[in-house]
Amino acid sequence: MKKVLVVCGNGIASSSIMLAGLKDYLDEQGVKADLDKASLMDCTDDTFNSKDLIVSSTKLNRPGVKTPVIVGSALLTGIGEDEVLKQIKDELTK
Amino acid sequence: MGIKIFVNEGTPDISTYQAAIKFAGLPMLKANGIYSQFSQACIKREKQFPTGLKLADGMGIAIPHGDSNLVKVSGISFVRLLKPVSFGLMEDAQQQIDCKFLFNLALAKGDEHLTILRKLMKLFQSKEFIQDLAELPLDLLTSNLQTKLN
Repeated sequence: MKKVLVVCGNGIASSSIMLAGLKDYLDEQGVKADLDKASLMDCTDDTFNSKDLIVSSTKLNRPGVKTPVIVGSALLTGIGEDEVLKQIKDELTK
Repeated sequence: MGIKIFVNEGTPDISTYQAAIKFAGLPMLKANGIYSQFSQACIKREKQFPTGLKLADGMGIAIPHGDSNLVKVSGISFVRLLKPVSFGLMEDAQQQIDCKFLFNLALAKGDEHLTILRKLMKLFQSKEFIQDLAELPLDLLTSNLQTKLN
């Protein structure tokens, strides 16, 4: 199962909302994934690189991160959400 | 227990996000809801993880928030700015968004952030709500927000 890490500034609120939205969508689409959330500040490059996909509330400026990153603030605001969800699904099912 | 709501109109001299965040903190500080370091912590966080959001019509709302440890009593301070100020965009700190509205969240518990953010995000998608933020007299807006956010 692919491992997805959802991250935001402090890993409390935004990431929880993004994770909940993502989980509902993936369940509905029948895509299985191992979802977890964290604070951007607590994550080392190694943490990120041990995952298959990062969904972040903000653009990551970390050259050491090799895992694909999708900016998922749309999952928070709902604006452009469908597009981002589709992008995540495509990444998880490729 | 309810979250205290403060509603104010900005002053003409506010032209930076730092000044806007400080202004938003004043009523909460006066009500003894936050420690004096709270606003500075919000400003610092804003630099690292900006909270400007772009709404469907391109309008900006910022939701600066800070450490729960610096909060005594949970409160939300809404400011309707006279002229928009530039905040970093949440999804990309390199980009800016002009924000006319700001919700400064001073919440004492982590799960309150979750509940309030979820409510705000839903409200931000409503044209009617945004219009209320822009046009309602401050006392009406206060009771409106009290009901919608608690």
